[in-house]
Amino acid sequence: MRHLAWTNLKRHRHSTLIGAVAAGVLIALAYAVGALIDMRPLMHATGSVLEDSRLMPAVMTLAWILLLIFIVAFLIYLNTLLLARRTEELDMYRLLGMPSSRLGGVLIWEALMTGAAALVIGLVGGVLLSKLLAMALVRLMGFQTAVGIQWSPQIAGQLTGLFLLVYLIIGAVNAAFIRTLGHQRGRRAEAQHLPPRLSGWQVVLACAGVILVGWSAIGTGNYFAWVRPVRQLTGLPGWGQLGLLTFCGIAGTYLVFRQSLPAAAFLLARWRVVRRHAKWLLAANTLYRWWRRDHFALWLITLLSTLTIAVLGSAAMLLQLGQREVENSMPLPITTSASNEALVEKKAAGLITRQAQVTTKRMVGKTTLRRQGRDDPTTTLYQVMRLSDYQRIRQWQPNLPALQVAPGQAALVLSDPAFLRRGPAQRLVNAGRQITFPADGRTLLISDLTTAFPLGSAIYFDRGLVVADSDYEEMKGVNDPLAVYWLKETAAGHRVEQQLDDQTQIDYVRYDQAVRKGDKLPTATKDTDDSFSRSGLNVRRPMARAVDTLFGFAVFITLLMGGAVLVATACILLLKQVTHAQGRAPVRRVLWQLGMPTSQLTDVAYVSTFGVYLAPLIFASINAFVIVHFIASATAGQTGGLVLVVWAIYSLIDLAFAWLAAQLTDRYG
Amino acid sequence: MRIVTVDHLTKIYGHRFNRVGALNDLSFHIDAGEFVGIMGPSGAGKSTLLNIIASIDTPTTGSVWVGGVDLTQLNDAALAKYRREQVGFIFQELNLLSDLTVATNITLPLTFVPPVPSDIDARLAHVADLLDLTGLLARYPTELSLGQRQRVAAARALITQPALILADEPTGSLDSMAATELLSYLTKLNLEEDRTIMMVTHDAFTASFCNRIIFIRDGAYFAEVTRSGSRQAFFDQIIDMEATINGGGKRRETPRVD
Repeated sequence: MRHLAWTNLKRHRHSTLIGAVAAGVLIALAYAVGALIDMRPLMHATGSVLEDSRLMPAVMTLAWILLLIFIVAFLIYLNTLLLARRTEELDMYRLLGMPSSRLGGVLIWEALMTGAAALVIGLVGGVLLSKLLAMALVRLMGFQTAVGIQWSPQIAGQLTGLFLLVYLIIGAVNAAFIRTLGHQRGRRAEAQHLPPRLSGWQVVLACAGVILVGWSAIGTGNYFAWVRPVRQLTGLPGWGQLGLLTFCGIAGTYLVFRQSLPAAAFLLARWRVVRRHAKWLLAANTLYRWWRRDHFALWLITLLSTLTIAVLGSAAMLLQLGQREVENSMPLPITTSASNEALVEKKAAGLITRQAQVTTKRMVGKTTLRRQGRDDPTTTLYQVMRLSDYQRIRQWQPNLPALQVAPGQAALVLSDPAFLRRGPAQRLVNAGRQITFPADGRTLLISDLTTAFPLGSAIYFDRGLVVADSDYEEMKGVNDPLAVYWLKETAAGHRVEQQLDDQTQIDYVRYDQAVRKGDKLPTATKDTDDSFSRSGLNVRRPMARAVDTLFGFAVFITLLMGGAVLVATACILLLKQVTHAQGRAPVRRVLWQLGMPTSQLTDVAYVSTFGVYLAPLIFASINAFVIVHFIASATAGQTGGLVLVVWAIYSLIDLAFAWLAAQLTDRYG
Repeated sequence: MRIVTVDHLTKIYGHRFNRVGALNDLSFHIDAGEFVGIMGPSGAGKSTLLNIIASIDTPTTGSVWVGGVDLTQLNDAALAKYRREQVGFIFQELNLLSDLTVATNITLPLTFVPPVPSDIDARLAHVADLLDLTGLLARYPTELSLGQRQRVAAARALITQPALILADEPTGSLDSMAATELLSYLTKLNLEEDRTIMMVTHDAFTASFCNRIIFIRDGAYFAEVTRSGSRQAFFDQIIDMEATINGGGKRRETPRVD
């Protein structure tokens, strides 16, 4: 049995090798992640930054378990794929009289031998990869910890036991499968020789697939703008609309691969111009056959790729968002309210290189702004600042926009970018509206709006207002002086910043009915139900480091999972291409015998292989961009440069696999 | 006019310790417009000879001249052009592409390299008419009988208007009625279209449709018979020669090739 199993593996050496290497790469990834969880110094270092030493090991363990589940699912799918290609061969063994028990034994041996090879590749690769992965994690999280190659006998033992068991189960399932071979014989023979067909129903379904995908993409892209009108029109709640759009996207993608793409290839192959060029005709026919036969696998790969690109893109976007949030909330080293100045000056004595004071006034204001097509009347707390102070702050905080504020006007600073929507001629929709202050009855005209808070949003209770110096002097509010400090860029300076960050200093102001009416001023108070609060002491560096660590870790986890999915999906396609190419080798030989130039045969291999790889990539990219756009709309993120970079890297890796598959198709076909 | 010249052709398969000689110093020639059959016992090297003339295989030593060109001197691209333009090959296994219609299968060799002949539709109509395939052009090969498929393979070989048609056991998988029908078409091609045909067969009845039969044994030239009277008389001659070969008769002189 062992001898026959070995002979079979050698006969199918290309698919065996690709399967074992793909499984090996994923096992290597699993080992490296497992070894990372065992790296105590790294886990301890993250714990010190994230204030919870259990967070990272817990998340890593969860990611590890998900990765293992994914690998097992991938191996089962891979096995189904490989077995489907061998049914004729196995059927022949049975027809020649080999007992099913013996054939089953051969299949179990084959599975165990493949598993052993995958484990060897995986463990050796994993030990090498562990250093690379640890370095990536350390780099992404911004640590200085030294890391080396990790050998963990415990993880190696666990993975060996797990995957030998998985391969044993796969072998046993295969052994059970061969008992059903006789029943499938007739259906297989019939399916192999069916000529290409396109019925009216198939055309209808093909069109339906494209419409569903398009509608889902457009609907999700405009979800936030359309959700209210659609609810009013149909009574369908927001979550129902989103569920329907998701279902349409998934079902539409399935129909696209089941009907639309094969129909397109079918029609292409019947187009007179294509029929006159054998290269394009054969490529279209090959694509028709492959898309028809592998529609389910391609659909599954598209969904996985969508998820991967969307998660990677969202992680990149959220990383940008996190960094922007730090930049927006704490753009300067230390900002503090008056009550905390003494604390900073005491702790940082001798380390302060520069200090600045900015005076503001706290006032309650009323205004009505337009957002998402509706007028939104709001009464809230404003910190009012002189225009001259704003200009001074712009020297330290260069990202602040230039504001044009004349006497009687005010520039509004708020956090929600939805208020900054522009109408015709790029004019701000909310510019020209009025803001009234009940305490002194003053009314100002809003001349400009921005989301960039001078000194950072963390030192504000809610909104900010920049007014002309003359208006500022006349306004009736509570003085709220703020201070900015710059410390020496030394270890001692950094240590003090960390110490200050550990101090929780919250300022509260009263905001009861009397304050809202303007009868009383928003003075300082204790924490009550009718109070506004802010952080009275804000230190940038520890906050930035925590965000970098947290988002760096999130990016690492998403890259890890994305990488695993990418390798798995690309390998499935690679394997399918190679086995298809081997099946099509006689056709290729006939074409060569008929005088088709070798260069054209190579072109056919490349065009059809890239067609198979590009279809899931294109649809996954469209879906993923829609999802990322949706998340961006929901979180006020921007689908900018970094998302495109992530997508470009993913696409390049996918295309590299396509090139490899085309090479192998050209070679073995 | 001499169209094929086979000059001291030798083909040896394997290497060093396991060498098998398929052709052994074989020489003969074929003139334009001939319908030549190649016969011999199994393993005599008939198909190897045809494959070398079709440039699908290469000789170990010796040379093959077709239309005045030495095939052994051509590079891959030139050989592909030769197969595309000068030779039409009717395979024993038919080798039709199941996902192309009959019409597309037939015209396929004309579309390999641009420019596509402007009279492609006229050529298709002509060969379809000649081989009685007009009503079958829109069908797929799997929807045809074996005899019809064999005619499609013949039409594909013919559409490039090659100087030489090579047929490897074209009736091997056909019943006697379908075989007779196909051979009648090949005869028609030879007589009406003036095509030179070289056909490998092991069947005396099939061979009797030819004008001349070259017998080879153990890869070497053995004898040849030429039709001079009725087909029945020619058939009897072939049977006699087969009996001589199979009975271990003496090898005749190799004809001089010039």
